[in-house]
Amino acid sequence: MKLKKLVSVALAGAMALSLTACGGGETAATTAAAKEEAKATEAPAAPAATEAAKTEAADLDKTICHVVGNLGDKSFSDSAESGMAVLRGEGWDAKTIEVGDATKSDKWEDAILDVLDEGYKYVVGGSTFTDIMLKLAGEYPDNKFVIYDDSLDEELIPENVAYILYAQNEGSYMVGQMAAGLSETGVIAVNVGMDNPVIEDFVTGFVQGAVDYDPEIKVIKGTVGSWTEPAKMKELCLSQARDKKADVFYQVAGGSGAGLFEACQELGTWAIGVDSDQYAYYKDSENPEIADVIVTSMLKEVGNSLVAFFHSEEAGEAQWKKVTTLGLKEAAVGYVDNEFFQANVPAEVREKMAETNAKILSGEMTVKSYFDFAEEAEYQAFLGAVAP
Amino acid sequence: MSTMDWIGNFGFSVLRLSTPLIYAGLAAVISAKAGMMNMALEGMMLVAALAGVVVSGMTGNLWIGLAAAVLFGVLTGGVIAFASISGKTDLYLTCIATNLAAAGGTVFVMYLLTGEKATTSAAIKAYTIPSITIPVLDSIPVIGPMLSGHNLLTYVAFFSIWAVWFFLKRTRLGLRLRAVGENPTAASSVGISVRNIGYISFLISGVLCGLAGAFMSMGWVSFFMKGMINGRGYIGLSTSNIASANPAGAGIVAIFFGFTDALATSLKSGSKFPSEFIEMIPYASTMLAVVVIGIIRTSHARKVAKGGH
Repeated sequence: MKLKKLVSVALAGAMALSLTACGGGETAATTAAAKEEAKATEAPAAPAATEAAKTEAADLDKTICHVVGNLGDKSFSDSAESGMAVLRGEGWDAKTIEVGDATKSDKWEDAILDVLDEGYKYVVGGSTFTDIMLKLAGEYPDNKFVIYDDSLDEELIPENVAYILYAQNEGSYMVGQMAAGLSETGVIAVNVGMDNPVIEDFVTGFVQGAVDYDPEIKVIKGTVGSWTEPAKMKELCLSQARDKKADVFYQVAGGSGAGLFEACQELGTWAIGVDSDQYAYYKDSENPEIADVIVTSMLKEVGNSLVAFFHSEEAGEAQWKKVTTLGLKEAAVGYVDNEFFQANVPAEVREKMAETNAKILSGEMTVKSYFDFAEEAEYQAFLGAVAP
Repeated sequence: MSTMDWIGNFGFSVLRLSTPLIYAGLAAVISAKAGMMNMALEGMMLVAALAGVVVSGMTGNLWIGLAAAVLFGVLTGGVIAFASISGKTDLYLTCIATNLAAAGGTVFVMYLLTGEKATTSAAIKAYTIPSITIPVLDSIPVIGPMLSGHNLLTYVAFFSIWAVWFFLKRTRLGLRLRAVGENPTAASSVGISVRNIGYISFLISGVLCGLAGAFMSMGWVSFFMKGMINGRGYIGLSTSNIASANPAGAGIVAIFFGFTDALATSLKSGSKFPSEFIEMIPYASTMLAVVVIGIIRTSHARKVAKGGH
């Protein structure tokens, strides 16, 4: 009996360990009581504040709750968090909560509710949390919700919700041209973690960039089916090289993407990173040789966009009930132009990229977006036309 | 590329995809023969995968890392055996708890050691178990590219099929293990320690899971990532079930799953099927195989019953 108890205690300990691992990392601790007090003193001043935007800005409740799955992905979530760090430096009280991956999705709403109860005014979260945030926006009309990396018909957006959408198609268009320019076999591949509208937008831009550069190019699109399955990603790339002779690979696959880099190491082909500068990340890591296949990375500056959004909120100009689209022009997306890129990409390809970059900036040309397709079949036909 | 080359390369891919499933299947076979269902293969593989990467990175020696992967597989198996055999906890709950604890615990340990929460690919120097080119065989068309140049652990996996069969059928310990699995009361009445056999089955399971984990993080890819086993432990379990705990059968079923996986991977590039449908193939074929084998077995059992009357 004694032994049984001991074992159950040990197992309970192990479980607790695993929970800590998922739930940890609350960065800005604030006492709820202090916040309530601050609110109470502000309350009488509130009606007067509505008269002028300036006074409203002065009385702005600078509290943000940032909801992420897990930090440490070295791309999307960490980029958003870097924006929060900047805002913290400017006097905002930004609290980041890590609510865990999809296996913990039943607890997401409770986690956000807890922070709302602590008195946080703004809730910021990625597209993973769209449904929950829209639901809460209805229940908490006094709070404001910023959903990034997602889009919605503007008529359907509640008063207290703002959407930030990235023109990942523009950034992907740039690296798509480069991929077509680098390919010797005339076949390139874009491998994604899972299919969703934002991911399809990456693919759309990439395919279009490649085709615009070289109308003869063939593009393979592959889906791994998980964001944390590097082994299968590696297998997928090896099979694409084997079956279709693909020789430039673009990953939009989160954690699975590391498998693509390894496949490229093995195959001696080029890889394109995503979201952050993955060449720099690996170059000064324990395994610098991985960096030697990453010719560039398509950038998605989530953090900068959040900082810009809250600056506009301070100025009283924030776009509520709207979708703000940020692209090359706003420097929210782009590609890494470093020495490695310059040394390995032929000058003519780089010139062509710079040229189209300027055209997109000036508004002379627009890049096709997944959101432009009227229906899924149209998108599938678009992909089918370039498939080898 | 000629069709011959393609077949060779495709076969190579099948064997690589099968490797972790063979280990997991054999681990499940050993437990099943001892009369237990080891649902913790997933967690044991995950722990081993992390241990291998961390220890090889820390010591700078690949083989110490591999040994550590096996050791941690065995330790995890030992914890389960201790809890369920000595502590009399429910085996299934213990296994589920182990899987959950491994899923979170590996991330926790990785975070403590490296400050990373997703992967060790940048934080820990990678060591990979070498691939082996077999002379002579290498130069035979089709078969050469299919069978030569695999990771050492892939060859060990195929050797393990034989080793597990030999252990179960040709050794005294294997006989005792099967006796306990068939009827623990009868076995203990002739002086076999049911408790010891239970421990031994989990420790051997641990060795096999350790090799599987090492293959995932030090062979197939060269880093650990959270949740990187992605259900392969459970597929291994069904492999053993379909083969009714026969080692050779488990090996064949594992290769069949490897085949469906390789097929799905090939279909993913440039096919018109939705990726979710293709993603389903390996799992759907698992269910189909279970149903088909089940039908064959029941009809066989009926025939036997009829013949008896």
